[in-house]
Amino acid sequence: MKLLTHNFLSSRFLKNVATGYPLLLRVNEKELREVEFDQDFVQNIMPKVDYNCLVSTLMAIGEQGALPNELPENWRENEELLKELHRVLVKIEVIVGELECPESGRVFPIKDGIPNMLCQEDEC
Amino acid sequence: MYFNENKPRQLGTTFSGDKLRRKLQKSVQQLKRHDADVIVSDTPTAKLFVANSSVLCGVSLEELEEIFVGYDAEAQITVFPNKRAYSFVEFSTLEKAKQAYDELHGYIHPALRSSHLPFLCAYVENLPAARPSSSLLRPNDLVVVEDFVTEIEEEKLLNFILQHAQCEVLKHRSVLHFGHEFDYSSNTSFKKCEPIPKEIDDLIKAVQRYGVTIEPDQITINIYEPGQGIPPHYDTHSAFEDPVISLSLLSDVVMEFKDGANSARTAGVLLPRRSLSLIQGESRYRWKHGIVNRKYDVNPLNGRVFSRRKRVSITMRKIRHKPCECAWKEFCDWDRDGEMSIPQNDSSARFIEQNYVSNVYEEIAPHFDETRHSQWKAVQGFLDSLPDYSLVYDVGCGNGKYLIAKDRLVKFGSDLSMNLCQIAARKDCQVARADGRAQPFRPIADAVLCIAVLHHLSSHSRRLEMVCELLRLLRPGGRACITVWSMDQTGAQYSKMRENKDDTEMNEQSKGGERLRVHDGKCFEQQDLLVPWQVEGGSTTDENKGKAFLRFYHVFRENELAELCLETEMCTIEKIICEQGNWIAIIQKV
Ligand SMILES: [Zn+2]
Repeated sequence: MKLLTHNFLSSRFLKNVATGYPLLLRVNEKELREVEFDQDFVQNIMPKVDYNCLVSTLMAIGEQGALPNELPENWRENEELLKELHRVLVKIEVIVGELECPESGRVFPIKDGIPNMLCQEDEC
Repeated sequence: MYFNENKPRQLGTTFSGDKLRRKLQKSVQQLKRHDADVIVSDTPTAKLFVANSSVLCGVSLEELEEIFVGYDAEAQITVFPNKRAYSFVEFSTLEKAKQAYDELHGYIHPALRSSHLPFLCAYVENLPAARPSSSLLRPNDLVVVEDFVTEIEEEKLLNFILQHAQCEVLKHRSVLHFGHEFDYSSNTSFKKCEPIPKEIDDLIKAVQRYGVTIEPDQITINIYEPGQGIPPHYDTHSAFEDPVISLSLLSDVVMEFKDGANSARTAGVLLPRRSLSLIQGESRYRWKHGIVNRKYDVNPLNGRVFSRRKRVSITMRKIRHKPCECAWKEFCDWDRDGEMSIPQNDSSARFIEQNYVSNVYEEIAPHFDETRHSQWKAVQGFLDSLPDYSLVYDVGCGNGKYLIAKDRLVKFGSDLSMNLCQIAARKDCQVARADGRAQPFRPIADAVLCIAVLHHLSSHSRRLEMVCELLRLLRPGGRACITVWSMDQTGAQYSKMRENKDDTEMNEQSKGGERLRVHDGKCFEQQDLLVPWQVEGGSTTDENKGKAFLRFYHVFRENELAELCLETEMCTIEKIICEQGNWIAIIQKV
């Protein structure tokens, strides 16, 4: 699971959960994958990415690196920043870990890089 | 091309020269590839290899017989229906073989009714070796005991049967009953008829000495003239105990078995004259059996064509007085107190989906991945219509076939099957495991795909919940593309693939009621059914071969998908398309 994917995951589907976002991420095993830098992709995806979620998650897993707490106005032109966004969004792969619903505390395991978000019928 | 399909047929024409030689050479190469043990002879022999002479070329057994018996009444024909384009003919003398060769090589015989290819002949020294019986597909649990009665015993039984006054002639065959007969007036039960005579009783005792424990009380004797048969059928589960016992007299015959769980699996089983067959267990409860209406059969072991003679079969069954409790409940006429009914409440819907969707996909995932690559035009058109970098969720992404394309879309997928998620993940797709009705994504999607998933939900309310969930994922104005199986399969590849030659199938299973039925590959007779998954060949593990994988489907009527979408009151319909037996809806969230 890439952090890009994590950025779009939510546990809103659970019963009595209002937003279920962002999911708390705990990592037991991760790796860095080689993915070719695609500036267009980063520039176009960032408006859809929740930056606060990204930063807090990076902080939680010790990967914040050089990423500022707030996205600067000129981020589109800042190649270094774009490359760092590329690194954290698509190069980091979480292999084993878990996700936790911020409201209900329900935990979802991540195995083989796949978050298992399946719940019992009576949970949703 | 030399043999052009579109060319008018030139019956009676003889070809010669280089073209014919080249064509024969090609056929001989084919022979060497498929049957390497056959040795082609430069000098005449009594055995001919004949290319362009099989059902694959539109040549029937009757035509072959007609042509070759004209040269030699004792000619023995060997064919490999649906496997080889060639046959072999063994003549009683060298002279007859030579005459046939001289006249038929390169000749389009006028007796051919649909083939337009000339026979291509070569002398051979031997025929292909018989296939080991272990290599043939056979229904499990079927037992055939050869030489169960002696010729003298056979004659005694025949004398009794053929002289019996009550021989009733039916449309397809003559029938005689002892013990009990089916009561057509009530259509549900048996009525007593002429008691089982001593001749048959002795036979029953012999069968019991063989190890059969039931006490047959319903005897049916069928007398078939050559050419007569019986359509594929199940002996009604609850009507009779296991096994169904049958003795063949007077003629060999090939009985066709069809796997109810996989219509690609058919097995011809030779029932030799004087043999006893025990149709029991899987061969009784899961496979249909029947005899094709034709005058010739092909011995499945050696391909030898033989003509049928008048045949008498004695079927011995024990009437059952309570519902069947076999291990093949999907094929059974007892619905297990509603367990196998079309779901009427949420818990039965969950039971059906667990057993006939989730569990099955986990098991068939690798084979599913091998076979699912083609994409539908309308779905591709939908994806092409999206602006670059649109956010797309593929709900029920399967092996990731719509996720892998490098198409400047930002795509995430989910699937209920962990094995399919892993297959998609290995292709670098971004996936999460989740239920279609409980999606783990932020509700900001520009587009949602839901391809061939909604029809696996087994109640209306669950299907409605799923469409609501798809719409919840979309931003206002976002669009979804949903595809489901259509009840109308005309022109679909699926039905072409499964088309059956003899369409006079007969099914004694009780009709009506709200029972889930196993789809037999033809028209959909009801909207909720179990559809066999065909596991054959490929790299699928052997243990899965022949296993029944039945998936639940709710096939959609015309307008049903549109009505379901509108019922959410959350969308408008952009268009509904029908493509290859599927309904495809493009909808927009308001
Ligand atoms: Zn049964």
